[in-house]
Amino acid sequence: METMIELKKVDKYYKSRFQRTFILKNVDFTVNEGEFVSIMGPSGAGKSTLLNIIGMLDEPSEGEYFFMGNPAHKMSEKDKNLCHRNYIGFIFQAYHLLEDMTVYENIEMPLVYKGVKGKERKAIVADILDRFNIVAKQDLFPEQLSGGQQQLVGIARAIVAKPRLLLADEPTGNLHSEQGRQIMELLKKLNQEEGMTIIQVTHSEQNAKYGTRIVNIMDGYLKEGMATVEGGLKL
Amino acid sequence: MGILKSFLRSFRTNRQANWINMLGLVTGLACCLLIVMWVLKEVETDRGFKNIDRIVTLQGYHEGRSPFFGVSPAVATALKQERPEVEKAARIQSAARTVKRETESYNVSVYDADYDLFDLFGLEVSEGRPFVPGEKDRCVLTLSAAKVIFGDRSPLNEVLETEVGNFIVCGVMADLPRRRTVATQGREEIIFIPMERNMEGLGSWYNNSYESYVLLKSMEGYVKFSEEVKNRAMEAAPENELYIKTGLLKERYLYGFGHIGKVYLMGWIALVILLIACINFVNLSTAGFSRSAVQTGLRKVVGASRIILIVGYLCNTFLLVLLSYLLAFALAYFLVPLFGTIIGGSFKAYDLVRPEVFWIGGIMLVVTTALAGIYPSLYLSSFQPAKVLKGKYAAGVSSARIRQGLVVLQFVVSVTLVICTLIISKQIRMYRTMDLGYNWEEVVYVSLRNQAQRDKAFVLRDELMKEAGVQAVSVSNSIPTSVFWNGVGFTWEGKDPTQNPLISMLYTDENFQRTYDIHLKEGTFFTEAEEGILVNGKLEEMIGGNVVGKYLIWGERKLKIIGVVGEFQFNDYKDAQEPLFISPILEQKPWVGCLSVKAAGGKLGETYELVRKRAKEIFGEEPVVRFLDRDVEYWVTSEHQSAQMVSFFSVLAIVISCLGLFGLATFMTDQKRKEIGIRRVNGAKVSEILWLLNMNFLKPVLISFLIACPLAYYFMSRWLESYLQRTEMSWWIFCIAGALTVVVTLTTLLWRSVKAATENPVHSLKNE
Repeated sequence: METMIELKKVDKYYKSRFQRTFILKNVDFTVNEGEFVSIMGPSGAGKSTLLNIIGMLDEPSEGEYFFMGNPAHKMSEKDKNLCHRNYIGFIFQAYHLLEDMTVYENIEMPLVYKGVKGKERKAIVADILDRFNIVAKQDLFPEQLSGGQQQLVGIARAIVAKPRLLLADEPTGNLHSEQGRQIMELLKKLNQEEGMTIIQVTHSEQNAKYGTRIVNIMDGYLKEGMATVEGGLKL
Repeated sequence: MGILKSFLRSFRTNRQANWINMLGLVTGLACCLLIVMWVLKEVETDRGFKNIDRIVTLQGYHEGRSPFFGVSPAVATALKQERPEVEKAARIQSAARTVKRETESYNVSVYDADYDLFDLFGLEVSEGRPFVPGEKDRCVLTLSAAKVIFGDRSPLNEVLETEVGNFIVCGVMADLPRRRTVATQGREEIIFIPMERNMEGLGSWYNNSYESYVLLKSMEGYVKFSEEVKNRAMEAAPENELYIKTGLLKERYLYGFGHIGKVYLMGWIALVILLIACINFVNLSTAGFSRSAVQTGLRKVVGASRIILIVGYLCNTFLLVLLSYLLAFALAYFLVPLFGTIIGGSFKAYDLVRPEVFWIGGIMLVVTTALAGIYPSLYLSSFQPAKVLKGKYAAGVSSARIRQGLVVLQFVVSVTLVICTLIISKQIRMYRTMDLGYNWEEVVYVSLRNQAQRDKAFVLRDELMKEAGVQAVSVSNSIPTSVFWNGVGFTWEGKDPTQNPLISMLYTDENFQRTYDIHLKEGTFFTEAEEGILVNGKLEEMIGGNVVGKYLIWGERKLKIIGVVGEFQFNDYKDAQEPLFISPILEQKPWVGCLSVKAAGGKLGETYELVRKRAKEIFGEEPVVRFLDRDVEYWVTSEHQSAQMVSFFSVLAIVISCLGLFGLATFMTDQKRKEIGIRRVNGAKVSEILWLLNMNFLKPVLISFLIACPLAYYFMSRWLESYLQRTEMSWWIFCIAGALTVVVTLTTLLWRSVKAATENPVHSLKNE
């Protein structure tokens, strides 16, 4: 199993006047291919920031980040762009679908940017629509779908280009328990059957159980394992 | 997904914002296109003549005075004979105004013209041929004249009667270019007869009423030619002190007549309006881009490269601008007639369809799209997708500054225009109510067109005097608004021998004073019993001292001065006072040009009809009767048109600026929706919210006002310099402009912000 993600002594802070506000402190974090990691922690701890850094949507203030062996902190925008196209998929809590495009068009978007030809695109998208059982809805617009269906489309979009790494920021945050359960089942399946590396940020202990590993962020520090009420470690 | 489809979709989604954005651009563009059309037409004046590049105009002038339109008749002939660089020479002079065929009479302009005229101007004779040297009784008609007189039949070899003789039609030619400064009396219906049919007077070095032109073989020696020709008239008749001014026909309209000023003005206005509209568009467009920052962020995450995003945005903008251009063209097309009314001149809708208009559109398309694309490109280079997706991105501080700056720019232009409008209107009002020294409001006059009418003028006068409703009738060589007789060679006791002033003269009968309510400063008006002349203030000043009783000597004539008129502003009221005397008609067979009738109070319209009837009875043909006040109004007209134009464009500028303001306000209130909800929930009053929202916009508008005031002051001082009498640029004008701006701006802003400020926080604070 290869090391996919390696963060070394990563700090993230914001400078204001003469102060530094730290979001992440001295984070060492490694993820191997095929893992399903859940990042947990109280609100404002820095979970999403960490995810964004991993997903190259943000940059560490200090430290190094190696993505598939390549130093991301030294990558040009063009290279990062390539990573997004070919290796990384994103699922957002707020779905972030494009309102004026249909379900079909939303899902095929990454393929368009990747340069996949029309016929091939059609085939791939049709396949995913089928898998997710939403073929009938392919010509609808996001505002015509329920929350769960929209998140489904979001996931479809995230995986349609077959990324090696899937990053999910509270994927079930806006859904009720049954919908959430279905989504988590789907993610687990992707991880186990297709070997997709998944890193999710979540509040819910239940969601975290779907994964293979848990890390915790508190006050900017990253620790392996779940946190206990008293602040100790529970493995 | 196809670019077009994507464009249509996104257009629909942001429908309101897009329409507001486009409205400003469409309006500005449409006006710009109309002005371009007008400018091109102005520049094209006279260029319809084939040989335009080599045609030189000849005009006579006295030192220190403006040149006459024509020159003495001997000049053209002399130049043709003596100078090798001259290929052809031709003169034109008005010969008659009516033409008779069988029993019908037509109002067609008949011009005496030299044989060379046709070759000189490159005029095509489509039917028949032009008249040639030796022929004295042929004539050539323009197509329009032929149509009016003969309908569809061929006019060749038909006979036409004029008061200067009968002529046989030998040719029909294409109409002269509609836009021209040559042979401008009468419009398209023109007849040319050979000038040399009557050699009398053609060798004179006096009498500058002959339009004269020469065609040079090559323009290379033009400057030398111009210098050497200048004194030709002096050589022949030194006591006349007449110089010859040459000019290029193709420059006469713009530079000779000074229309270039208006062309530049309009050109600047067009540019400014276009600038405002484009700035507007770019401003709103980039605001919209900020609004869709989340979308952009997302696309980036999904794999779109910066190039793809910029190109996509540019395509979208391009299509929007293209759509605006098409709409603008359509709008301009419909507005052509209205535009003609405002600016003066008649235009047809197809005047708009020409290559330059499309070139301009193309350039504007590229420039606007590029400008609108700069901001997103810069924005995307400092991109932080994380922040954007969290919704934490608000249009950055620096871009807000730029937007404010652009708003200031727009409003500076608009407010300046408003102030200028007010001042120009004030100037015009001043002229309208000015006292010219004679009564022009209650006079109707008959323009005498041929000898027959002139002979019967006195009979008509006596007949009309008998009518009730007619206060006085006078026959004179001209009306006060177009005094064109003048001469040199006057002298008086104590005159400086080095001076030889040009003095204008008006010949009339003893009823003149009553007809025009002339006020006398000194002395009396002449009567049957007492002969003598009256001088105006300027001439009195020139002669000096107590002039009543002195004599004005002109060649053999000794004219006794018996009175001085008060204020008597003849001709264009804007000109400085020139010396003039009013004299009884001197010759046995007098040349009189018109008959003026003063109507009794309030009966102007009826008097007009009465005069027309009587004149028709006595003349035996339809007379030309006019209202004098219309002629006076004509002097005001060009100013009036300037004012109309400027006011129209200032309104336009304000409208576009307000549209921009409206769009920006919309954008901002959308962005702040949540903030407003939170503040309201925490106790803020609606008025406090309004203050918060609008303060940001009032500041730039006030700054613009402060900049606009001195700017407008400067421009208007320059403009007023060309006038003898200037209106005052009172402080309250600036106050009005300021108040107007504030009111308009507030209305625009409140329209948008009231809705946002009074919204129920429940709606705005709902969690997505």
